[in-house]
Amino acid sequence: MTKTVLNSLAEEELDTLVSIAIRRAEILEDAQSPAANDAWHEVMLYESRLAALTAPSDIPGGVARVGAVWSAIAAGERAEAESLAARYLAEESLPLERRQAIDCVLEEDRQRLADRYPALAKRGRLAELSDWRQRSSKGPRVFPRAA
Amino acid sequence: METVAFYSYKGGVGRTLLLANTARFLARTGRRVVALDLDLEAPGLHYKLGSSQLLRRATDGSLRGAIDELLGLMEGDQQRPSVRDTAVEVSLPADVTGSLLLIPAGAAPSHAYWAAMDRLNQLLRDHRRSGGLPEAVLELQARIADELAPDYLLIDSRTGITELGGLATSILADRVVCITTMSSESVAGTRVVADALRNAPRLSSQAPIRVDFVVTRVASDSIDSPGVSHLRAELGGFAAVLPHDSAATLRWIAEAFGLSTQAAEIAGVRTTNESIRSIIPEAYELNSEVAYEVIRFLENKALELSLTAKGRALLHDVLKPVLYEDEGNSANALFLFFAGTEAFLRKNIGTFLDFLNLKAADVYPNRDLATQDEPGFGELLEGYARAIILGNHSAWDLSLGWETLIELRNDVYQARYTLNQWRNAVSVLLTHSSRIEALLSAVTATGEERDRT
Repeated sequence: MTKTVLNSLAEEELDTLVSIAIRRAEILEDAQSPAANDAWHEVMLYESRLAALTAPSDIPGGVARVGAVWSAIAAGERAEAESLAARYLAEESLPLERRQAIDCVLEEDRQRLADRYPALAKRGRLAELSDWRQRSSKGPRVFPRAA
Repeated sequence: METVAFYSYKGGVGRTLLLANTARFLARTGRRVVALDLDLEAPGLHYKLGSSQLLRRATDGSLRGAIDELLGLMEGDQQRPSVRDTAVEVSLPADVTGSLLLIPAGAAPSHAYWAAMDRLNQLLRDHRRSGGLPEAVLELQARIADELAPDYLLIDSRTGITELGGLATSILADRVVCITTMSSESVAGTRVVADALRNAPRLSSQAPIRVDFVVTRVASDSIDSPGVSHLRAELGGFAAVLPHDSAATLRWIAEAFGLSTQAAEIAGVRTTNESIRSIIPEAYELNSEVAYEVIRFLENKALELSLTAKGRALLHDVLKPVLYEDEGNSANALFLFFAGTEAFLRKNIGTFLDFLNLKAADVYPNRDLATQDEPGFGELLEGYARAIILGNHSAWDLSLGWETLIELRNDVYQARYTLNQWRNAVSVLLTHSSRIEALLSAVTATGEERDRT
């Protein structure tokens, strides 16, 4: 889906698409299908577009923002998740419960990684890796970028 | 712990061997060293540092290695063994206070290994939420630091441009040793990669990366050539040049790792002794005088690096009788055997005659035997050989051909000549380093020639 197509979708269409995409991603994840990552990426696209069309203080806007961060994590796109989270948390009118929900999504992900990579967590390197990913995604590179 | 990645843009430049030599040398100077093979696609470090038993475990699929560690991390396997259980101890001399542990890539080559590679690639592609390769390799490095506490972690990185090679060099390593030959494609690729490494993002707690260059497979007499100087300038002026010379390699290791001269000398002698011992197991114990002489010379020669396996075996067969009493014929024939080639004989005819206590004028009054371009020279020396073996220095037959010399050489190879005469010949040979160099070349060539016939 090109950005032009995505950006041309109305809020009602996006609501329908995101519901279908979430269901599809859940089914694929439950089946441990490798397609689940891409399915959650699709969810993230719809949620972030909905967030752009709605106010942070509105219920749909708040749900979309939390959903965008959550689905980016589910797709394994941590850099994108943190970028979206930073953007949304900077919106002053975002309600407290939505802020806490976004923080919780990120914190759960950090804890999951810390449980899996305790030696890195002990050294504070998981946060460094996140920052490294952001920086290494910019500019030319020789070696293929690690996920 | 300092992490040093050994990287080469092209294969076959001696990267893995240089890492193995560095690991052994550092351990022999008292350091705790872990050697980690991250060249998962074409692992070979276990062939340089592993025992025959370990290699059997590799081919039968039972050897655990880095790939199993990475899989366990990415799959969240809480029951996996510790890194200490995966690391294999590399045997060192008993009086060495250092240590060397090898973490091989895995049970390569075996079907089990390639299946593990498939699983790893699938995990990387399909399960990104579990963290990716950066988390896994950094966690492995951190566990090595925590559980094994080495002074040095030496990483064998994959050649070329790969994701894992990029991680090994850009975020695992404190220092990268970039190894290249003089070939234009190798140099061009190395330059691009080195520039990329210098500019690549690092973790915020890491110091800027240090990049060292080493140029390998350079002929000893080309070290100061314009070509090498130009290459050094291209690489930034600080490339170390390593000819096929184990002493030069050891000097580079000592300088690159800040080892004291004394420590380097001790480790260097140990390294050479180990080399000699692997060829002549009895040498060091039974005949230390001869062995010492051999060691003195071979410590300046690329014994391990330049001899083929067959050449080494041949050298073993040739030198072994030096240690045992025996009866037989003249060791002058041995001299010819070691010479092996007409070029060598031409170059050393003066010394050869001295050895025979003969004057050129006495043997062939009308020819200048010191002239290296003298036609028929080979036939002349063949005659010497025949005469010596027959015990008649004055009777020689100029009609003898090169084939005869080969036959004589074969006779010597079958060890029909005396220990003392072998020993005398070896002693004479040992007084001149150029002859040892020719010896090694000749033995290698002889071994290869015999294998071809």
